[in-house]
Amino acid sequence: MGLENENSFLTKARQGNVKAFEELTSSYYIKVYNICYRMLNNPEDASEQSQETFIKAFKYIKDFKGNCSISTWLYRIATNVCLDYLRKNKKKKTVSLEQSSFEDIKIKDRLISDMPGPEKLAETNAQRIAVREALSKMNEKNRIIIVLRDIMGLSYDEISETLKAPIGTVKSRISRARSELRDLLCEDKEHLFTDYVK
Amino acid sequence: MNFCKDNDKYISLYIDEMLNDKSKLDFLQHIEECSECAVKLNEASFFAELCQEEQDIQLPEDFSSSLHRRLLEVNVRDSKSKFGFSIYNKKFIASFSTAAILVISLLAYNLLPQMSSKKNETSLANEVAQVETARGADSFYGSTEDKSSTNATAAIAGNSASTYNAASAQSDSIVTAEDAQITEKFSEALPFVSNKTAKPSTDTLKQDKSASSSNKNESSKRKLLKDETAMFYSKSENQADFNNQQYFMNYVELNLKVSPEGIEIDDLRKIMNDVGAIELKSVTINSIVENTVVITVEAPVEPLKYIDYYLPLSIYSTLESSATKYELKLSTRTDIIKTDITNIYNELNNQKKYIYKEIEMALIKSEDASIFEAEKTKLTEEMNKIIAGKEMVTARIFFVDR
Repeated sequence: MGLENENSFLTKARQGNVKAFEELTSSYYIKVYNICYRMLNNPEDASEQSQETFIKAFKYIKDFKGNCSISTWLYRIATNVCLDYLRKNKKKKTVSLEQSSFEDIKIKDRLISDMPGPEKLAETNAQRIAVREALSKMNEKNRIIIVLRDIMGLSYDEISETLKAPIGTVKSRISRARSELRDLLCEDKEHLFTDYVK
Repeated sequence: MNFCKDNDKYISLYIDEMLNDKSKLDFLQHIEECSECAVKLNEASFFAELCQEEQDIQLPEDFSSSLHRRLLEVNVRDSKSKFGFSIYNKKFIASFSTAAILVISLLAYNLLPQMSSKKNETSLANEVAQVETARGADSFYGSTEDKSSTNATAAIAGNSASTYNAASAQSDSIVTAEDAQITEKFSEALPFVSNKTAKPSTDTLKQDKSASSSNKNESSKRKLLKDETAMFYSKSENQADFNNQQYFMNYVELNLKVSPEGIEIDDLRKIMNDVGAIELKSVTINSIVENTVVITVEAPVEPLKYIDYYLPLSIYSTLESSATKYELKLSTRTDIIKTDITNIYNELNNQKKYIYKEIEMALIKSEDASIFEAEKTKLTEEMNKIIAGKEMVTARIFFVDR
């Protein structure tokens, strides 16, 4: 989307044009949904909260000054929505990561097709499930760092904008989050990573 | 740099290629030397790579359509609530408050005089009755032989009060007799209003009625007019509510010490004549002699008890000093009593409106409207007198023995 188009859609969206808002934000649906999914570990909650993210964005798009990119702004809203949701539902039992997801199905399909070798794929799948389990156990503030940096691949600057935190803080939070993830994986799932760890 | 102590930080920065060249070289050198940090780096790199390999999870099938529906709902709700929001807008609240205050102020402004007028309507009859009773109780009627006269005056006042009460209750049962009592009250409370002009329409109708007793149609027409007049009397209370102007009658009583020869009375008349005061009536011990707008009075057989004068307030204030010049001992008996006669004015005004209507009807029917024209002129004169009466006072001067 060109900058001119983005500005045009932004103007219309600020006037309450849903179509323009959708044109402006639809390319970020999947990214926002993934942030929510990684944070909430539940497809239903992820869908609900990512929609909530876009509804909030639509309501408050008049307040969007354009100081950052639309994507960063949306990620920030998604992060806050997820953290709020987790805070309000602390006692709610998180749904097991073992349930089928679209990716799981894909992996299962790949397992059936035997492309890279079924054993290897099964191991990789187990490792990924272990990572998600570790993520679910992580501190929420560390979890969002891993999601934004290692899963979403956001730069330090983007994370800084998203979390509204200085770069120095982002650096230390990334190292702290990775350390926590490593500890969790090495403690419980060391057997899965024998080829790589130690 | 202590890489072992801060290995998490340097490992993370190394993985993300955030170290500068020198730091990177130093860190790599440390990793070659420190197996513990090397293992940590290996682990961190693997897990980071594993996370990066995570593929995007696809959106649920109905995500876009569901979101679209919800966005439309939100949009509609926001549009509806725009008006609701405006209610809470500070500017709107300020404007609304100002308007409300203005409306309340205007209502209060219009309401207060009405309340005052209503209050006066209900209290007027009582006030008049009190004044009349006070007069009746005064010693100038003194002896028992005057009791009939006193009772008559009190009865007039009482009847007037009952007439006013009936009028305020908008009773349709006001009759000619009561109208006549109102007329008497007019002449008593407002000396400059003559009996004939105080209720001209009624009197005229009475005359017409007697004159045309042989003509039943004319009689019934007059009766209808009379009923309508009564109706107007009853309505006058309400109409007075719309008239914010108030009218007052001023009344004061004085004592003048007189010798048995009564020369002081002549001197008083001279003074009053000089200042332009109008002598209304003089009262002897046993009778009332009325002299409407006539100054000279025939020498009374009976000694005079009092004389009423109608004079401007400004002259009244200089009356005592004028009396001193003639060595008259004039002293105030009461303060100036101010009586609200707005109702009387309003009644006259209503009569005038009624007369206007009758004139209009007569003109439409090509009938003679001269009777009504004459009544209109008289009413106008009386109303003008009431208007002018604000600055006038009726002074009743009692003659007491030296």
